[in-house]
Amino acid sequence: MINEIFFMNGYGLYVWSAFLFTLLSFVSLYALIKAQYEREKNKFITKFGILNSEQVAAAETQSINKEILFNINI
Amino acid sequence: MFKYFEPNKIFSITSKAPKYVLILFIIVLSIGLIEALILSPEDYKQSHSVRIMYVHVPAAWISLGIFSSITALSIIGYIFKIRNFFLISKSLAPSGFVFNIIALVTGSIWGKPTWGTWWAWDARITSMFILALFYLLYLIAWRIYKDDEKVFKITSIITILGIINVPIIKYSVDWWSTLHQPASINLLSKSSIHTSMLFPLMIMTAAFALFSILIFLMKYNTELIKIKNKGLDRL
Amino acid sequence: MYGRKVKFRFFFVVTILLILILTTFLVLKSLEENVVYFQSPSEIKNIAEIKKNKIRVGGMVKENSLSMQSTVINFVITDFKNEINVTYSGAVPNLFEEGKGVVAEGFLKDRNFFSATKILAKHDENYMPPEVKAALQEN
Repeated sequence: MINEIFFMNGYGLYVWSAFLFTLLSFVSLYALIKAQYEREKNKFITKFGILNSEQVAAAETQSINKEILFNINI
Repeated sequence: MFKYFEPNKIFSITSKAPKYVLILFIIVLSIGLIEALILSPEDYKQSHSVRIMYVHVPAAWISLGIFSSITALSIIGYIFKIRNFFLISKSLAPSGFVFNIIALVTGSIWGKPTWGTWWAWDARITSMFILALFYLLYLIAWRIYKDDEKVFKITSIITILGIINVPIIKYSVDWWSTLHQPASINLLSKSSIHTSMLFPLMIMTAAFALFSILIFLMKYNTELIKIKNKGLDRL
Repeated sequence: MYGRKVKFRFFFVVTILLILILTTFLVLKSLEENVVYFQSPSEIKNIAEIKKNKIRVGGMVKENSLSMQSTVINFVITDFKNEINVTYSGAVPNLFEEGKGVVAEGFLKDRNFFSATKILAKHDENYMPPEVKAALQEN
């Protein structure tokens, strides 16, 4: 059983490399997009931190800004 | 009708959705992998090498589907001047491109033990390779041009040029003699894949689609925050 | 109900698409010879002159035509109308067998003889477990 799963009648190397390539692509793309997201979010938080009270009030009129600060977590 | 797709209205959903999609994706992918690698039977002719189909075919389907969606969104976005459609298109592209590469690479790995060659410049493989170039062109265009009006136009043109290739990919195996076999799954006729192999294929397609949705949502959120970032600068 | 500009852009896109489809169609039509990956035995029979360059011939390996003598493999490619004899020496892919699809790359000696330098197996679009295949053959 185990032998068949790894060896696959001589096709094991091909099958496993195809599946591994797919999974590695998934992980890399996820990591890349996640990093871009974190970078942009941190930039936003930093910028929001240096606003004065008047600007904060203006920014908070947009609900989307509040959601970026409090609601997002992937 | 398009106003329901305004970023302000959907962000409360798109910002929370990714974690649920990720969980669902992992569950479906696990079932799919067990089905594809262990439970499904071997083929009478190709033996176990047929298992490569379960990553190759869904990847090819989804990369074609995403390119078609990007084109439709870009054209509608261009005609009706809907900025949000371009953001959606832009966010769809990365996973479409990666699936295109997966289809090419796994196809190559599948070709070696069955056909006897890693690569053949037949109509199907060449047209799929050209699609990857169009994806690349599309992604590069978004990096080069920063001016909105300009980048919307240029990416629309790229998708319109590229969409001509999509029916060619689909029908290449019927129109010309190719090394690649004809389609097994047809909407109108009975599929030539046995049910026991069709099931893992469908599960893997669902898993890959969920992955595209996940990457799309994360990318789309990133783009929205980028816009809001510029908004903060103007305060 | 839509503005003039919207209509204008719509027709602009439609025109571009039509031009592109037409151009692509014409280009592919004129390049047909280069787009096909291989020629059938019938097409080989009808060629005007035998050229020296490398070509590919494809079809089915005729039943009972395969013979292997040490390293040399002889077989017949058929499209059920015409046939061509192929001689080849070297390794063949796993899926190469009688009654299955094949593409041979090499040089044409005359209209009936082809000397292959590479053999590729072409499989069909049917996928099923061995038991199902066995059951089908019994019927």
